[in-house]
Amino acid sequence: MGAKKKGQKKKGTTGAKRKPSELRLTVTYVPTQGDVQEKPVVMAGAEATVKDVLAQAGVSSERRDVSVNGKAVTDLSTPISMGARITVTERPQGS
Amino acid sequence: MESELNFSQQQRIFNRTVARPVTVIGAGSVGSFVVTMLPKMGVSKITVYDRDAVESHNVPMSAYRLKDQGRYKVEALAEIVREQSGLEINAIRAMYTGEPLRGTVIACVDSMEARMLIWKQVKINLAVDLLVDTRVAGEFVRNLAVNPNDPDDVADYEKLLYPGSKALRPTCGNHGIVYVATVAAAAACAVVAGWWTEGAKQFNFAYSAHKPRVITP
Repeated sequence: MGAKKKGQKKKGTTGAKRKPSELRLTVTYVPTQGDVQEKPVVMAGAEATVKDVLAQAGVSSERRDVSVNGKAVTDLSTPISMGARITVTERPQGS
Repeated sequence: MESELNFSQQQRIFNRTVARPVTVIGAGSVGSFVVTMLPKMGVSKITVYDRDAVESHNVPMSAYRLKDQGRYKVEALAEIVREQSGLEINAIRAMYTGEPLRGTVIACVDSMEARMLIWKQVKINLAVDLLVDTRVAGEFVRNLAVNPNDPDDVADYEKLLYPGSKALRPTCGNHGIVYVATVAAAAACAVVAGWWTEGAKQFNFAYSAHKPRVITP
């Protein structure tokens, strides 16, 4: 007992990592006009899909592109991990 | 015909000898600026397709002049480029309908169906080194730079090709504005220059002109 010695491992921190009890993410909504909005989202539990996160953030994916960490996603049932960056972009087609 | 321009102030930024032939499809707001920028970079082989004439509402958001109203866009552009850069471009006064493409292709069209038609020609086409797809609405720009012979780029791009009914149709009054069109055109020209020079590019460029910022996808 007493003060922890240098190099001594703290009890209970070895072995498998504990699953987080919540997921924290950011959803960025990019409209073709007006402010870009960044919405922090906290999901209860350790697992969620893109669709769950968008529902929690109140952002629709209709006529919009969805990307996760810069990669376009078409299947919204894709699982999402802690710290992921989801971007929802309105789809322009002019030029 | 070779350019008469003096490129001495930019030759360490872009070496024009690496430039390849470019086909620009669509000469609307973005396309008109692309076609006027490329010769100023030192690109000497430019083909442009468009069948429309310049209308009064085109003038504020494009490279066209008041005196171009009523003229075919490609003919007005050929004259603008000749005056500004001393270069002759290949101006095709017709809609692009699936003709063979080679070199670098810059799509400046206003429908997803036109993009799909272009994609049919460039996908897995070794004669095409890069497709830049420019997409604009309101205050927003999204350019996609696609190596049509790279399976990852092909897969990523095809996720972003959908029917026009699943994309936004700009309504009257928010089609675009000159500072959005010029950003899209400049970003398209810059990605092409980088690709020719370094063989590297970023797939996605997105920009909002509302409180201006580049968007990280």
